[in-house]
Amino acid sequence: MLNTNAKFIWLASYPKSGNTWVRIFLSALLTGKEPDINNLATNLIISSRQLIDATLGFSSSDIPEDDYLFYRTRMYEVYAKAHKQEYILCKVHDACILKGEVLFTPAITRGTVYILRNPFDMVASTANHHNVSIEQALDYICSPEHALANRRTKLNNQVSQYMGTWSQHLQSWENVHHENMLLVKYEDLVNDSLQAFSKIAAYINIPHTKADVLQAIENAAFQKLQNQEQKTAIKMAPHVKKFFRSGKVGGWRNEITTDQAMRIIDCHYDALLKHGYIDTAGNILV
Amino acid sequence: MSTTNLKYKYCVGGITIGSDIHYPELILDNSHKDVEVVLAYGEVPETLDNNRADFPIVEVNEDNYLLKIPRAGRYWVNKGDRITIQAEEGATLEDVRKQSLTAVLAMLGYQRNYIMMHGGVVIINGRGVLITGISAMGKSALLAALSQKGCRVISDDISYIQVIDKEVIAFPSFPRIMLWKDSLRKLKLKAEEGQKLRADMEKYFYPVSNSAFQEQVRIDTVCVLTSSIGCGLFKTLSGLGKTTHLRDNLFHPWILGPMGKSGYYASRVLGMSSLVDVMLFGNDQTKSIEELADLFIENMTNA
Repeated sequence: MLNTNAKFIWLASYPKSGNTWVRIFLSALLTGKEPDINNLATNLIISSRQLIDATLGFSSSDIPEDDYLFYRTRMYEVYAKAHKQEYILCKVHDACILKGEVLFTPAITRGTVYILRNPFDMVASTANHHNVSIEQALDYICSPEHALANRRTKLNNQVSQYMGTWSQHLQSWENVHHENMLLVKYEDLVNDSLQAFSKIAAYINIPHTKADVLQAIENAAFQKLQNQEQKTAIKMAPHVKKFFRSGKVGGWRNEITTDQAMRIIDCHYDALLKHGYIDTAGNILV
Repeated sequence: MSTTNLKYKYCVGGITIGSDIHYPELILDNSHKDVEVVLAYGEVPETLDNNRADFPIVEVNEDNYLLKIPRAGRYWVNKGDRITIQAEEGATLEDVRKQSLTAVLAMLGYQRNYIMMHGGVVIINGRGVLITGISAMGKSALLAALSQKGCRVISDDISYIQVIDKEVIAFPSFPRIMLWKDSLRKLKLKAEEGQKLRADMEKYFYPVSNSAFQEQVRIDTVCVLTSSIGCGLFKTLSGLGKTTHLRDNLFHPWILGPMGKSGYYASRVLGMSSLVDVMLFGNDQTKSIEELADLFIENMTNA
């Protein structure tokens, strides 16, 4: 049940898990049009420096991040209060808990859509996105310190986002929002698009018909996104050669080695088992 | 406090500031102009009466701005003629002092009815250009690159603007550009020639030429850095688009509501937009900063 006293609906995920695809779908559903990938109706990201500055009341780049970290929940509250719409869809890559503090508390949360993707496929996508080797991408998703935009020697248009490992990230959201969270698997979005996307629309409470959802899925189809990307660079990732890759499930079999897959299992065994990505013997099911 | 015995007299944005605090970053005012603002260490309230803002570290009302920077100090700008700083216990005075060179000076400008723009002013072949845009768009790095190519930079981060006799006039702030360590490296500048904004941050005040620094400059072009168009491309704006981009790039525009000055600045910006060209300049950081600076100079020279 959505918490209708609050406005934020978090579209939360570890990076390269289909978050952009879900936002494109929602943009298509809300507008009834084929979305412009650089101008989505669902473009808000909670780590935006503009959002942080406007709610902090000050240039966040002029003070160390740790000095405003613990104001963030209050800042989001201020942001929500200042916006008149009934709900605010917002992309999040941060873990829900940072340094023992809940960043995205249930009190400011209307609902959470958590998009989960198997890390075997995700790691290849991560390597492509960051232009690093699979081994380095594995280091990222197995590192309890993993964060985005965390470089302290340059100014980023987003503040840093602590994520931790793939499974820590998932657990942080499950622990805080288990009573009000829709967990959607990327694999279901690919294999059973109508049902998976319909669930998201229903959870968020966007009025829709089956035809609306089918049309939005069609407008958010990978082929169309790839065609757009060929014509125009993706603003949020200007340095990435190909943002929309194959999007296929199970592509990892051609992209990572058995040893690398085993390393993923070693790092994330419990979460992989819980969500049906492996069996108890460690066989990969995706 | 008597203003005649103050050790230093500075000129920032055309405002004469008297202080006993030594600011090597600021330009000394050698004119006979009276001190208009006193900047001093002193007692600063923990909160403002009648605070109209809802920010965690900033309080604002019509006459006052109170900034509370964790592990540094509290900064109080009052009625456009006084800045008081109270260091937090344990803070380094050098850090406390330098933190007053950003938003605090901008709020002084607002209280004195300047149009405070977020960005810097550079003179290219005699033409005054204001470079603005949201944070992290590369304004300061572009200004530094233009400075390396011989263009005079008269402000960075905060620009003091007035409309005088139907001309948009920029007043120099102080001869420093704020650059992050990675930008210094890209520009082949030495970090040791700058000063850190704070000892625990890799953000530097880097000096630029201060020759003729007190001269005001007429602005005829405002350039808004953006990632919404291709890198290195220009797009001229017209009509409401000009006004919207100027308004959005005021310095900390969220302060104006609590100050009771939203309407006042809406009208000032509208007036300004009719007197300048406004264009977008694409920067998604896929081109080198040198390339961008060359394209910028070429366009401003030929426009």
